[in-house]
Amino acid sequence: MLKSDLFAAFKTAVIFLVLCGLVFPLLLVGIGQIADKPAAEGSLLIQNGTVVGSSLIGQSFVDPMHFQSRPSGVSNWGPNNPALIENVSQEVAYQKQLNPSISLVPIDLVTQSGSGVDPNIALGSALLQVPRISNLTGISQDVLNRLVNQYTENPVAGVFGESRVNVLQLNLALDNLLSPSALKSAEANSTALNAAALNATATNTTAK
Amino acid sequence: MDILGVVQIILELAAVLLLVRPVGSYLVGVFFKERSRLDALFGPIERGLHWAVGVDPSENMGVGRYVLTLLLVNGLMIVIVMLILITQGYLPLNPTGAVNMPIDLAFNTAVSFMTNTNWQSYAGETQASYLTQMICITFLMFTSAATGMAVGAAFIRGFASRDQRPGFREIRGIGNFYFDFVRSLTRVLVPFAIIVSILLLVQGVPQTLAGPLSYHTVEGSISTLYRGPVASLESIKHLGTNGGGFFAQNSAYPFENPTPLTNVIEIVAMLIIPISLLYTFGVMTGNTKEGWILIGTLTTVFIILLSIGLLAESSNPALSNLAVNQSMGNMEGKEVRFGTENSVMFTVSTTSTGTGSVNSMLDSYTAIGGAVPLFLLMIGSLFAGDGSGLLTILMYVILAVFIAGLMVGRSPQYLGRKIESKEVKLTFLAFLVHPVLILGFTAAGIVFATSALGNPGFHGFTEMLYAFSSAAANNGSAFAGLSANTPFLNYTLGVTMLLGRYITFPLMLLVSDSLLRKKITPYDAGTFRTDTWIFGLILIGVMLILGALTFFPVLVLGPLGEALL
Repeated sequence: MLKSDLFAAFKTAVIFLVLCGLVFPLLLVGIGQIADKPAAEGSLLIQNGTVVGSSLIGQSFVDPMHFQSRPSGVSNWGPNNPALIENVSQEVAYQKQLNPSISLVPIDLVTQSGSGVDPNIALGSALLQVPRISNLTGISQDVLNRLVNQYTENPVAGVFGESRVNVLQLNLALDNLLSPSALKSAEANSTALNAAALNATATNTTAK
Repeated sequence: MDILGVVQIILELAAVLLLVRPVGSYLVGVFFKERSRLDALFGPIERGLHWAVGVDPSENMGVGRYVLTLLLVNGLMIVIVMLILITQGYLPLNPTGAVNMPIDLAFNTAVSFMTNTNWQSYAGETQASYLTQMICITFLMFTSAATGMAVGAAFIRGFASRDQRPGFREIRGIGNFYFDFVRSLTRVLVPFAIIVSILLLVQGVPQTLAGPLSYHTVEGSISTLYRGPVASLESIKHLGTNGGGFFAQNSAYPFENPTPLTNVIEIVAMLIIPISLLYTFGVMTGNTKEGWILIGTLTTVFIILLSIGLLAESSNPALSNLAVNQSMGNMEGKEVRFGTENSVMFTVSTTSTGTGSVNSMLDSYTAIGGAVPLFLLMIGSLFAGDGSGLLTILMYVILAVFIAGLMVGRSPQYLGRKIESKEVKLTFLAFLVHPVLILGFTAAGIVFATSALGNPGFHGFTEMLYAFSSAAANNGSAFAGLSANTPFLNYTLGVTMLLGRYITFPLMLLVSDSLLRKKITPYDAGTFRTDTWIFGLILIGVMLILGALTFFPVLVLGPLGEALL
């Protein structure tokens, strides 16, 4: 009897390995291709035919002309770990050097995230960088504020989540503004700029 | 903490509680009703599966055969998965180039997923092939949850009303493992997982066989974009109260949990089956109030602990001397799209159930913020795992009934069945499993694996304590600063997970089986009723007092010590 029990258990294991482990995921790969292919393949951002990242995965920005994202990496430091306090102090000093006008640095700009690649910063943390970027690029604060708002994701249904900015997409749009032709028309008038920014969004979100 | 954050949490809890009745009723139909409208759809599939396996699902197994069958099925699955893990480098569908797992890591991983724990000593994106993520991880996520639900269904039978109600199957014993196991999959886990996978997919969770992608970032450094069949894993990860991530950073990683909406979906998915099963339990006892009182009581504890967590995470006092605006809360290890409120809500949900997925790094929580999930694991989680959670909850219920009986001087009874020496002994043995495993192995770990600690002082001790609490509770969340991938920790944690699951099962099933055979004593004026809020309060008291008395000394050495530092 034990032998037949063992055989039945073995068949159960193999059958469900195939059904749950192969048929189910492959069925969903198929559904993904039909339902939302760009999302299924990783929400890739394509610029001039090459992949520059995924809109969901944050990148590290060190160039002060770019909006800075959260410090990359995951620390797993405890709340009282001297390494954490030292690291946050250094990030605070760096942010104050970059943006001399601020007195208190928002905590998202000086702490590491849970994923290590947080794609977002809070809306306020992006807006405080506008004066610096305006100084460095010559783009008016008005235009930059509008650009930030354009890449702000608001809470779903006004409730779920936080008001946040996708730093990678914002910087890609900023880079497009800084390309010579866009810059020229931007100086000419800001409506053209909006068009350029919209155009940039269109190219950015074209997934592979 | 802002008002919007509180509103979000209230809406999430409301969504779960609204789903409890329909889902709970559906589960009654799945396991205990004679016929269902869905038989036309699922009946042929189930008959085919039973025919292929060669078992008679109507055979009534005793506790012995039920547990033996369960152990055979689970044991073989562990062996098969271990074999795949130690050879994954030779097998197809490996675009990440994952190498064969060493035997200690393969043992830890196979045991971890079969016991519904999902503790991970490996990083999924680099150390597991796509084939492994599918036929090892996703496979065991389904089957471990189905095993838990089967045990839960068998367990309920001992407490079920003896009245012959129209439409209900006659209860002749603890049931048949294959019947319960297969129905959990065909009628609950697989269809639910298909729906949740699609919801996650359209929000941005990848589902592809395309390999990792190397690319130049905007500022020109080279980076790798890891992806894979994520959505199909992510759904059952939460529905099955599993919790193991496709990626090392689990549900904090945007590809596992890209938007605030996916966060809500994952929270609802992990809470829904364990809570609904309490409603199912109530229906089966013949008095739905028995279920609602348990749901209400445990939800009250949930809200109290959630509030403590939210307050604790509203800032990190250690940073208060720096020029930092902490209005967003203690954001180290947390994601902006969730903020503090939805991080803490996720954490309390994941440790109140047997899930253990994380959307923020618990190691970086404040001392008290991190003590909340730790305490939840120590008391065995509130709602705990799919199905298996019922065993933990009823364990406390029986202890509460026993203690209340002692207090009022009447022989304790529950649902008309006398709770006698045999049941109390078995229940108390089941209760003792956790403290013995947690305290014993934490002590050993602190002595023999000191170098694994990722933080100094009290916090380092908490990391080790959390690891074994998580393993014993079959939860799987971690203070991830601990470097757990060492042979010592892989084996000790693996053994803890095995004992935490497979000792409790037979003990509590024996309790259920014993109650199944008892004469029903009708209620009289002197009966201590268990469908009242008074009983709910006693239950909370028993859980907190037993939990606190057992673990207070180690909590002082860990989070309490750190908080008072």
